Amino acid sequence: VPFARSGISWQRTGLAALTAILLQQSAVGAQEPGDTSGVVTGRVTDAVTGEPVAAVLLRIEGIELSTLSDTAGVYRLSGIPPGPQILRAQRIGYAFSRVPITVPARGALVRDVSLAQSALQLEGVVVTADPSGRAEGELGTASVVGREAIAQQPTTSLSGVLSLIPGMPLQPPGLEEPQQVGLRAAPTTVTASAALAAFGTTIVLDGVPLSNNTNLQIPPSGVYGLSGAAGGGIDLRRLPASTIERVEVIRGVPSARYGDLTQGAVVVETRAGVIDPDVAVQFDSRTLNASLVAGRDFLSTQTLTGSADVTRYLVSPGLTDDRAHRFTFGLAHRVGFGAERRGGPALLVDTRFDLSHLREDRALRPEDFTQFTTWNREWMFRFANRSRLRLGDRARLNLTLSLTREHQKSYWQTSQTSGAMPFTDRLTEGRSVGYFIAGQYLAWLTLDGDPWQMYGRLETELGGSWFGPEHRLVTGVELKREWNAGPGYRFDIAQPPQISFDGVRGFDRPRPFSEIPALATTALYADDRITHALAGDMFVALQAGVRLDLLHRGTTWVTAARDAVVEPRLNAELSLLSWLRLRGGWGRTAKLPRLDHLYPAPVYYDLVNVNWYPSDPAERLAVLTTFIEDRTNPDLGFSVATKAEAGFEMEIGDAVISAVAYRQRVTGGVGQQPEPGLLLRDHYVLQPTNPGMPPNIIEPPDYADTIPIVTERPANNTVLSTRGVELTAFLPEIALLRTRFELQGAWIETETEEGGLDVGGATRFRDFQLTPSQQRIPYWKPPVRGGRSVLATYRIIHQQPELGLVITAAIQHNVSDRVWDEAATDTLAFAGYMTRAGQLVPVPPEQRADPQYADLRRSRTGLLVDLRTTPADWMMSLQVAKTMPFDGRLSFWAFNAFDRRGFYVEGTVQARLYTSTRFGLELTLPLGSVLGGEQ
Amino acid sequence: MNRATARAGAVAALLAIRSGVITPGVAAQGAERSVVGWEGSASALISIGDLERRAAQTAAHPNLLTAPAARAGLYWTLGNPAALPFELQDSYTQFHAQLRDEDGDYRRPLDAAATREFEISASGWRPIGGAGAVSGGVSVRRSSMDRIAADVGEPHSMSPHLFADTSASSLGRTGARVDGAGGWRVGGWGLGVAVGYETWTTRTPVSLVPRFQRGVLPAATAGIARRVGSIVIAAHARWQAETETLSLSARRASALVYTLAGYTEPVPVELAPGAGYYRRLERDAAAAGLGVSLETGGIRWVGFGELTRSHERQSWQLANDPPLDRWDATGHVLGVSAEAGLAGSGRLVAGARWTHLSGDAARAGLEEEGVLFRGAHDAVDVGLDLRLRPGVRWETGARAAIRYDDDLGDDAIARVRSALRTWRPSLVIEAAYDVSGRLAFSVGAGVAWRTPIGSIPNPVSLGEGYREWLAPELSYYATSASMRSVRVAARWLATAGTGIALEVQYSDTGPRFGGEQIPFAPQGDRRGWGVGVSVIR
Repeated sequence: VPFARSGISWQRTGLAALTAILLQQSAVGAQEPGDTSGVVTGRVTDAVTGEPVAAVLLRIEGIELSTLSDTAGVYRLSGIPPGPQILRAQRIGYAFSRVPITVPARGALVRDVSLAQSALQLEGVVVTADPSGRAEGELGTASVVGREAIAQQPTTSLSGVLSLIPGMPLQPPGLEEPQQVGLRAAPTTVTASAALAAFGTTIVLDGVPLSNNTNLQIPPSGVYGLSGAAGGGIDLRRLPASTIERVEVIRGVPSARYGDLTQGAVVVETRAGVIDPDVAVQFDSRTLNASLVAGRDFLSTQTLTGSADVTRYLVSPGLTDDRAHRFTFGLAHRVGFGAERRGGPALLVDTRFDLSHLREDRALRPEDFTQFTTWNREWMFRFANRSRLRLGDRARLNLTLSLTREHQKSYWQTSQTSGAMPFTDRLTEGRSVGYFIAGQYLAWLTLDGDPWQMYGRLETELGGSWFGPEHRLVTGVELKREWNAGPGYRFDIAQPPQISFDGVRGFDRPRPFSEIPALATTALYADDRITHALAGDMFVALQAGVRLDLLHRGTTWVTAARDAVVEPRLNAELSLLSWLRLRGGWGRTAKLPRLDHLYPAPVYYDLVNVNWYPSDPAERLAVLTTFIEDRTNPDLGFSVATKAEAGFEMEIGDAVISAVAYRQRVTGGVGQQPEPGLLLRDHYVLQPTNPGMPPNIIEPPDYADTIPIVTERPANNTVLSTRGVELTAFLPEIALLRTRFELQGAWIETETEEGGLDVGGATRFRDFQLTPSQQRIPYWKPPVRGGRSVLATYRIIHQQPELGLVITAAIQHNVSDRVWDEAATDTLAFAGYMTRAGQLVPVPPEQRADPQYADLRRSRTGLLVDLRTTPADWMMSLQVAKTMPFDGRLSFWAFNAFDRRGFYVEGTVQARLYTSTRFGLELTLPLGSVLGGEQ
Repeated sequence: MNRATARAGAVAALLAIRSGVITPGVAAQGAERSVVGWEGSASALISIGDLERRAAQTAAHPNLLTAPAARAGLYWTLGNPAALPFELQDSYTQFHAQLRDEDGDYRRPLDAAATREFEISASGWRPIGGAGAVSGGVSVRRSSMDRIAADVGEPHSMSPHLFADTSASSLGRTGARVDGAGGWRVGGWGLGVAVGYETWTTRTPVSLVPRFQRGVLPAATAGIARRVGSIVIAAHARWQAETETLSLSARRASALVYTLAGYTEPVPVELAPGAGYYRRLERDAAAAGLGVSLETGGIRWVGFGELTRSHERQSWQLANDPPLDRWDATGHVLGVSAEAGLAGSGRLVAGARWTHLSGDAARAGLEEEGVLFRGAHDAVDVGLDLRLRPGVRWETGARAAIRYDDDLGDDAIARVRSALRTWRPSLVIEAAYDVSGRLAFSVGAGVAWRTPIGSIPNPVSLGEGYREWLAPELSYYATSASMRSVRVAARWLATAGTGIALEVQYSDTGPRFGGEQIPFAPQGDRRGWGVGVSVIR
């Protein structure tokens, strides 16, 4: 049987195949027909008729090797690195097929491939992440979720796709709340741990990292009802699942290409290429989602892909019936230039425009006497260009450029009721006459942010055999500049949205975000992946790299470095037997601080000197002295994660079992460092004047008292430690029942240690501030917040390819959940005391029982040191997918199908309440079939 | 034979769609088992351990142009999926969309004043792989119910624990149902599994007292059959686990929530603005049965028996181990059916079934008082389905049925009891005419009567709550009634194997007062109409 040549002639293969090549590969590979190592061969047939299928493009994912099947359906690929790979098969008129394979170090792997018009008609349809490490260019632990599995998942955003990886709970579709993901982190008693983990998880979209570093949509303290993704990771709602082709979730040690992360990376590739118009409509009681993805080729060498996704969802159905909407549009263009060389154009240019809009309204109710309303709008526009220039047979130059502009606009209003209270709108330090607010008024605020991101990456790839082993060396430089040009936080100064004022800590002042300097970063990296065949079936693969991240002192890349981190990374894989691979990795990663941590808003202390409030408004007098504390920390820099992991993968027949144990420790996480200090408050004697006039102030001040304060300054003082085990087991199908079982399990333990000190809660400290007779207050060392989660997800997949039917039951088994605060709470647990002069005086443990410290021996409040657990429990989600006429697909899904309730807080039982049952339908219809288009 | 085909058959999901006049709540509960007819009879979602008190209605129309004829068999009558490969040789697929509306004053207190419903569904069956057969489908239903007080999905079940509120707001309900069965033949043995899942959710579109309800009903049936000559002996086991949750929030208005327990005077819970009410129902039911079918002389005989039990627990506290109201019922089902071919492509299916259920109720906090309410219900269904072809272009069908109910309720707290015996004969006739080989029309009409005998508590001597919530329902059952329905359909064969059908149905129900009128009995009438479009392959 003649094999197809790997170098494909455009003239011979026809337009469809040509377009497929242009779309699905960067360049065609350097394989020689005579190669005998790393060979995969087989026959492509129609799953329904059994007939051979010619002109099918077969490609190894992430490696530039491809070929076409011949008229007998036979294909052959050689020169493939040994180990787990994904074989992709594509032909117009058939469903895209991803076949997991494990390439032997020597000899050939025979793998026949079936194609069908619908993926549901194929044997072994994939419904979750691959069990083996098959990420492109990554040797560390990474899960890959392909389009086939995404289509099987009832979700409207990337968030639901991520529930297909070990350790992530099942999630209902819906867009009601901001969705963020923190990889490899268990919940603790404080949300800061989850926020830190989410912030340390980077999202890379079509080669360009998304960033939440400059999201400043943070409502002032005391203002409730505004929600957003500021302070954590990217809001995943902006990434609709309908447009996603493939997701890699890198949880282990990433290659040196990836930066600005501590927990891991989620790499998303959107759908592009020649795609029959594909319409999908998803419906449930809260959400209505419609999407269209289509791609065409034109002018021989170009393709254009368009995608649109429109979603309407109810925020609180039945209560408010407020509707929210998400709109996303994408346009991808690909063109090849230059003469064909070994199968591909010399220069390949991908250009993308993406636009997304999210709008949520909480409408004003006429009957609502509080006049509460809020709305939130987010726009994102992104331009990205990726150019790949072939330099010879084994070298390539990649250039990525992108510009992202977001517009975030939030509005909030409510009717506020305040007692008589003096306040000032002074923006500089000093004393001034203030105002009084009292009674009821309408308060409002706007938060307008305009984050921008400029990103560029220049990278070289070089392949070859040096000193024996096969190398793939990647070197690159990455430049990023981020800033926020929005008008910022605004409100009517005479009607402040905050109404809680204790006479010390003043209200926040309006702050234009455009005055905040930009973040400029530079990264240099080099990464070499080395593969070497050993004796027999053995082979070894190493991935070694180093990355240098620089945070510049100024707003451009030419300024000096404010902080720098060198991040060595090493991953290794050893295949001892054809069915057993051992893996391990160690490395460092670093994450930038947020813009609001680098340039925090100043704190205004408004000390009330005079508070004269008679019944006649004309006689009232308020005098306040404003102090401004700059919270900027010039030493703030990267947080750094040290990651280590070891594991194995076994493939015995059709069974695949993998496990990995890991430990990672993030140091220098940004938290708030309390810094004690004091302010002097002057007291004056008032001299009465005529009726209808305020009193006169007698200078100089009668006396002054000291007000101790604690200023919270961002600092790299937080440690986030995580360890755990992940297990995946895919068992072979039970032929009689046409059913197979898959297990994903994760044991995660997280501990968060915040630096600084604990003064025993805000109320206790405020009492200390306002009680001049109290000379000192104890402080404690902050507690360690811990959480442990053991989660297993069992999937039972029943498939009837001849019916085009797939039933998936996903059982989430919460084996164990625990949270704890680790701290001493006895009366001798205090670490020292703070004086009214703002000094910290440590007290050695052996002296804490002395009589002179009797006033410090208080019980510690605001801390739950009991171990709280939640009993084991489970819930199940169900999905039934069936082919429909015109190659369509109808899916019914039910989340928490048994409506399991979970546990309430009781005694030492920690709450774990499952989301109530939700169900819906999804109909997918290829328009090409309906309209009689090309098949 | 390729590998895929050879292994086909084990289990698959599908479904069956119940048709007929709207009865609010039925969408949430299992379908009523038909004694002659396959509609819903074989589903794993058929109610176990409960005899729902149905509103008055005629028997289902034969639907000559759109539905296959009635069948008798261990699968078609009893729902044992192991019998599928022995009893199914043809293929059938239907896509259906239907709009239905029902309103009128002749209703029970917990019925909606008016109901509008839109449903789309797909269903079918087919042999698979030479040794197997599958059947099933999916449906989605959107309903709007005006002024409904019931806070449970099925307010007319045997369980005395019900709850309702006085907000009388409208409810929008969305429900979905998936079920199916697969059977596989191994030599003379048959193995089968049927699974079903039904779920629904409601919400008040705009209300000062919003309430949310949701329910799920997963179900499964496993069966085994052995064929010996023309005899098939089969055993099966069925299981269901229903959960239903109500959450009511008196946001800006007060409301009264009534917890009904038998005939005891309901004590209202007053919800001040801002207060909420929560109720959760968990019900598990199981059944095990035997059946035998015999084919002799061109007639298939089927006999079957089944033991059933159900346990219902209701709680109203958001706690991990809350106090519970309980209802436990046990019972049995015995029946026979037969199918015979008649001369000239005619077919007759006849059947009879006796169902007996009895149950005891207890209330949280009163466990030491023992059984507080006891109910017993016997129902006998006898029916036949006759199809005849009097001419090449004509086809006629008739369904006749008689249902006898003996329903007893004894409340130990109120010290009152009810005993109602009801006869309900029904007759439906339909005729279809093939105009051109591609176009056919059918017309059908049905009539039914309900004649009760017995005693109910005297509402005059009982409390106000009883008179508002309980007396009208018992008086409804104790009043004679008559029902009429008419149906017109047209079918056009678009291709050789594909037909498109349009159907319109109208029904009317009202009381027949003779002599003294029973106090609190509802008056007026209840009208329903429906329009449907089907694609049949």
